[in-house]
Amino acid sequence: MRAGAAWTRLMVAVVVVPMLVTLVVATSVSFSTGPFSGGVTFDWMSLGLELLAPTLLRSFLVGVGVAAANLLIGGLLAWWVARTAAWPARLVGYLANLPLAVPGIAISVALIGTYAQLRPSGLLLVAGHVVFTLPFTLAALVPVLAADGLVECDQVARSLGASPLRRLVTVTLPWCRVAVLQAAATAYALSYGEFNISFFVNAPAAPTAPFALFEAYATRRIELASAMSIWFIVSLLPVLGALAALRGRLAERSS
Amino acid sequence: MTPRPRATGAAVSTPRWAWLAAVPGAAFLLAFAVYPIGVLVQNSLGLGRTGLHEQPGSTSAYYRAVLSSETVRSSALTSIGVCVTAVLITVVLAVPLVLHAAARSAAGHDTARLDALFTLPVALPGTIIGFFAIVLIGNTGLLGLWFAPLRGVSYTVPGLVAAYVYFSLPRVVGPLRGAAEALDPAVPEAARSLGAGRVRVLATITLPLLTPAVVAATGTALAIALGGYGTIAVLSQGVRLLPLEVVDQLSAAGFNVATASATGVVLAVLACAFLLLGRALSALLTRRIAR
Amino acid sequence: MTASQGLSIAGLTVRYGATDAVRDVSLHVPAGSVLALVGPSGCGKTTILRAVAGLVDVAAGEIRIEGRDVTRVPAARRNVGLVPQSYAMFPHMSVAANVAYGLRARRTPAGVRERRVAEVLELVHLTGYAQRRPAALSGGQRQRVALARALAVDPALLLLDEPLSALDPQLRGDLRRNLAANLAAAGCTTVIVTHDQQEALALGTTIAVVREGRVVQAGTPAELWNAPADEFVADFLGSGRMLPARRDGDVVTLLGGRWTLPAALLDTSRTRDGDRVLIRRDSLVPAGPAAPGGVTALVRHVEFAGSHTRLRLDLDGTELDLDHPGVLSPAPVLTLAPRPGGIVLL
Repeated sequence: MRAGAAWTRLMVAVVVVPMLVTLVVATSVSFSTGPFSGGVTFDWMSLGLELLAPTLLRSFLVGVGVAAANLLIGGLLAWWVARTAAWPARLVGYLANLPLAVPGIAISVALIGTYAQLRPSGLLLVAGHVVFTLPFTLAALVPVLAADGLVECDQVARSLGASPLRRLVTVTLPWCRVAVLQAAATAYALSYGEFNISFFVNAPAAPTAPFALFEAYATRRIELASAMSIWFIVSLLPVLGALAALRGRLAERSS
Repeated sequence: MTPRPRATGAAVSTPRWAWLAAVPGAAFLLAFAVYPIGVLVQNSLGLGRTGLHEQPGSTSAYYRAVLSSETVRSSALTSIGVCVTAVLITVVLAVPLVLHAAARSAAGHDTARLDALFTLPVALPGTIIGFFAIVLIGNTGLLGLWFAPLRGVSYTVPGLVAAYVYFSLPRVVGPLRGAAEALDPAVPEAARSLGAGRVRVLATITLPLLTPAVVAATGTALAIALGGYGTIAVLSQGVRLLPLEVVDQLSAAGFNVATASATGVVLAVLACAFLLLGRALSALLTRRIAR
Repeated sequence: MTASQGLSIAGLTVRYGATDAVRDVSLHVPAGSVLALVGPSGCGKTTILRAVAGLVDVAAGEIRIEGRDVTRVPAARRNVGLVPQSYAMFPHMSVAANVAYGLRARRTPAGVRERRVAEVLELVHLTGYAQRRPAALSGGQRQRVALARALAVDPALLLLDEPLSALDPQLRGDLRRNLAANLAAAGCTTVIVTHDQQEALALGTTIAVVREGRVVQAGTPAELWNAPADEFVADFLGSGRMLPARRDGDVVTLLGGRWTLPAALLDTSRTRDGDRVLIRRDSLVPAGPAAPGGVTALVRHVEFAGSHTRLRLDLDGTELDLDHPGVLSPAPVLTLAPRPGGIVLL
């Protein structure tokens, strides 16, 4: 057990150190001769935020849109898959998992080769993100919707005379509340950091945050690029924190 | 991760109009997943859109050109080499981690924060991970400043392996954490009570029972690493990997839709092959255990 | 039988976090005999077993197996055979490999190992099953493989955690008799943990009743049945009830005077001047109004249990179970009298 604890601590360091070093670079006046050479400054951080802010907003809006589309399209699909025992449900399941098997960059080439006209409006970007996040939504919602407990509650409600809409609102949705939130948060987080599929389909005039970062890595000073990276990670933290909290609640529920 | 539809005996009377709920989802998948991939294959065969310097018409010339191209071959081999090494290293790093976490969890401790730390970085784009490599072992990287041999390593194969290890870690720890938790703790305990030391229990009980999950996770992580463009895009100064070839055809070398599609299909087939191999091997191993 | 053989536990205390799961438990199991640890869920009996096996850390106390102090010795070196509640078969190994596991760990030479495996499989009547996988076995068969696996290493102590609880109730009777036969044939010092009092009474040479981490009473089944130390033991083992009593010469008064019995009807073998009586399920019989030592009771509930009828009576506020052989026609009130020697004075 002690060896396990030491190893875990080592791995935590491995995960955290690159982020810490990035923070150090982002707050150094100049990194060329070493950390904090020239002193500590927050100039890079404020300049980085200024440059990144509009793209962060765009990523946020796209993320929200993708999450909403996932809940709507994916929610309905998940409900159908959960209630159908026939082969079409399995087929749809496999189809939905296609984007997990096919590399994102290949999907990007496929999308731009098919719907180039949808690119400037940003619609193609949202569609690409939804394709990528749909399997995660299904994976989160189908088990919960297929649970025996929910079916039984639904049947009891029906025997008590509740209409389908009432059952949906008062039985089904509360039951899946945690899973729905988890699916939405996951879709948002994955869309926020999505780069591969977006590469050829994002609207060139209005890039999202990962592209601003990519451009910064190619053209900007390392200190500024680090600052922008830090802001990107920081902007992701609230959703990731919510996801972690939700996972805890889901685990509690099923134990 | 294929969602499994209901297979239990509980009588579920689905209303007749239930299939309507599947329509938006199915339509969306057909329009934006199935059809574009079909078009991708079509383009790669020269039957669809072609680039400025490409002749339209059904032909396997694009595939032949791609598969015989020296750059593509070398990129593909390097990709496989880098990714296989990286994922294997990741597995070696991850297994003790997940076993320890499962033991802590079984003893009643809360592992939520550790689990979050190791699995949430999956939301980070590959580009940031490439940047982490630059910051640590790039030309002016921190580790490079302290140890001269580590300067500029991020653009070499070892550096790429390190970057892809970081990239694959959340994608391996995630599934393995669940698998380690699913192992019945009474089994290794029984082995210990029979007189087996810790090493023997690990080698004869724990690891063999974890192997199917490890094989499946390896296949999936390999597929994702092979297809990852972001990381190598940032670190593309030195060694070239296969995803770069796909992108180059559409951006650098002119709008060669057909060639890019062919390269994309090759990449996709490679990734799928590893994914399916991992799943098949894993299923085989599971059947052998539960026979 | 010297005290240095078998199992000795002295002052055992085990802590889970801030609570004491086991408090100052002391027990002795003579070599070759079977101790049944019985008690309600969560009372700490499994914790005691796991502490003896070496799977949980001990906060205080001493454990001696065949005279050897094993309190600080790791589980692998204690030479105990553990049969867990879920049997914990190694799913990726055949029955023979499962049984041979402990012998392999001790680096027993192949020839000796194979002979021993065959021997033990024969003991549990599973000789033809050597190459099967655990997944292909029934619950009862898996239990026997787990037992064989534990016995193969010829342990100094055999530990069974709820050996029959995972099996179908209708099979339990037969399997219990099989288990008793196997244990007798093996002749190993054994500790069995169970929450089923019938199992404890049937399998144990001695029984220890555990409650909230402490041993409330330990002794032979007959001792615990006839002379329980307190209400908890009386109730747990035989749904018996203790009532305060006062003896004045030839008359014993219960329930504050409402019930008087001639002392001659009592079992006074334990003591002649006790202050409590034990009333068990078989202590009373329905009687006429003039019967000596009679008392009226309200009948709260009647349950048909096959060979007998179980009644729940209300005796002036105290609830009591009564088993009557055969069928009894229900009536709201019943007059009862003690069977001669049915009520024990303690």
